[in-house]
Amino acid sequence: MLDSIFRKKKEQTKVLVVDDGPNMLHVLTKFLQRQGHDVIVAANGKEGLEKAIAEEPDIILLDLTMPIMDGKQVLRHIRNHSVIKDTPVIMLTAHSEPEHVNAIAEHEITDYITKPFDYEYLLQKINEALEDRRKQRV
Amino acid sequence: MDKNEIKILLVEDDKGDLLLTKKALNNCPQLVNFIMDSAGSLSETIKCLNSDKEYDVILLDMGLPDSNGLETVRRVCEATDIPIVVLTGLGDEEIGLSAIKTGAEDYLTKDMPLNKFLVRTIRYVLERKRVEEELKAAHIRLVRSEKLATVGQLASTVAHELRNPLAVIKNATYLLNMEEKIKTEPDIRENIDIISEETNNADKIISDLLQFSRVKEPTLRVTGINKIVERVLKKVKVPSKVKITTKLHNDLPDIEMDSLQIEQVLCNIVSNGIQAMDYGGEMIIETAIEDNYVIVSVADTGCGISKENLKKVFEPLFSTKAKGTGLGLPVCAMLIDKHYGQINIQSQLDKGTTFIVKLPIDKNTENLEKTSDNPAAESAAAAITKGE
Ligand SMILES: Nc1ncnc2c1ncn2[C@@H]1O[C@H](COP(=O)(O)OP(=O)(O)O)[C@@H](O)[C@H]1O
Ligand SMILES: [Mg+2]
Repeated sequence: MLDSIFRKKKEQTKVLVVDDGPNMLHVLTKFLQRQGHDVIVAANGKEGLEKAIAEEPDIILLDLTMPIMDGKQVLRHIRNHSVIKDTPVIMLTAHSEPEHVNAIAEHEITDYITKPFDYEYLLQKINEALEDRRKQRV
Repeated sequence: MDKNEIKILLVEDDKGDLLLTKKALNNCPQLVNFIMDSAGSLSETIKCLNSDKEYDVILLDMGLPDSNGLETVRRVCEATDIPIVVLTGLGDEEIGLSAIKTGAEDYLTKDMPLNKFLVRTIRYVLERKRVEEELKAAHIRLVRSEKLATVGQLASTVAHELRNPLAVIKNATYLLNMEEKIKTEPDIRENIDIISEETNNADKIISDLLQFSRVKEPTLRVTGINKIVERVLKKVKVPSKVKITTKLHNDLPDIEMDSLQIEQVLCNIVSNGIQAMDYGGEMIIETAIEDNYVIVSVADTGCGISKENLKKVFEPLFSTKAKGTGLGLPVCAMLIDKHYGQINIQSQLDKGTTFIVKLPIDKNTENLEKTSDNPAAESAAAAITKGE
């Protein structure tokens, strides 16, 4: 218990947030930074994919509906990429639909959150995803 | 139509012809009772049509003192939907056909033996009218359900779009709340709380809308209805001026249903009842068994529903409340329909309302057919299938 808190403090988590809403990016960045995370942002899917490859974040928060390249397409590229293919991805979506549940079952996404969401819930989901990833690595 | 009685408005200015026609009708060896009114001019005809009297058919002589020929037909057609049979002169087939094109249902020429043809013509006209009306009603239902499908789709898109800005507002408010400064500023704090509350209200409206545009197929499990009632009572907020009593039947069979959906139905009905009792009142929730049905009735002593509104409460978006979405009951109707059940309402203005939900115990018996008492459920359901 103590150990895990200690570890969380020590290693800063690098979070990539991909969303086409500038205000959404802004508030999410502010919040995650306050939680001590290192935050990188991308304003569309294409930029998101580029940054994912260049920065190798620990976790990606990915908006589903975006112009140019949507969340699903970004996800497909990530999962096919040799280096970043196992990065946990939490999908942010306005739809609460069974297809997301299927996507989780098929290990495409780690989890999904329906907008509007509570920050407590977001944090919980991020921590769970990171914890899972850690276990997989061991 | 109970058609042992046919009400006729006879428009004829010629006394002799009038008598002849009346005679012909009275001498008909039919099992029909004709009730006749007569008018001798166009203005008199219009007066009759505007009175409280109802007619099934109009027999119309086109030559009247204040109007003549096809103009007469046109004017009467404009004034009413009642079918018109035109009486024309000897062998005037041409005029008769023109009259039909102008809006009459049929015509009789004076050389046709009236006692033979008149009744048959009237019968045919009435039957045609009935079929036509059925067709029209079906058409209206179809158009309405298509409109609903479009509106439903649009609403669903808009609702999803709104969730993005709502998420930002909610999160920005959260960030504001984290500011140390806020804690010492009660005025600012108060307004932030208002923003939070209203954001949650908006979210509720959007969820209602999405709930409506996406009614899922029920996942059936054998469950007891009493348990669901108890869950509902834990969930809804009951103001202190409202007293809720339950009379739960203690020997009800468990039945197959989607307990979440039925919970949603009862939640909507109970919330409506509470909202109807602005000045306080009593609610009685009762479970019972009747024939092949398990029954839940929710009775309130609230404002009641007027006869006119009673026809509309299952229509999507119909609401008499300032903050109502008008989607609660349509969702209930659709969900209960999917359970092969029924919802009935008894209401008296200013006295109160009782909602009766009936769920079949054994769906394998005679009521496998989907029965729906309200067209709203049908049109709303049609909208959903189309929207998917
Ligand atoms: N128990 C009740 N007593 C009086 N009126 C009711 C009751 N339940 C429903 N109604 C009427 O039916 C309307 C539609 O209800 P509903 O579909 O739940 O939408 P909403 O509650 O958002 O108005 C209400 O606005 C109200 O006029
Ligand atoms: Mg309601």
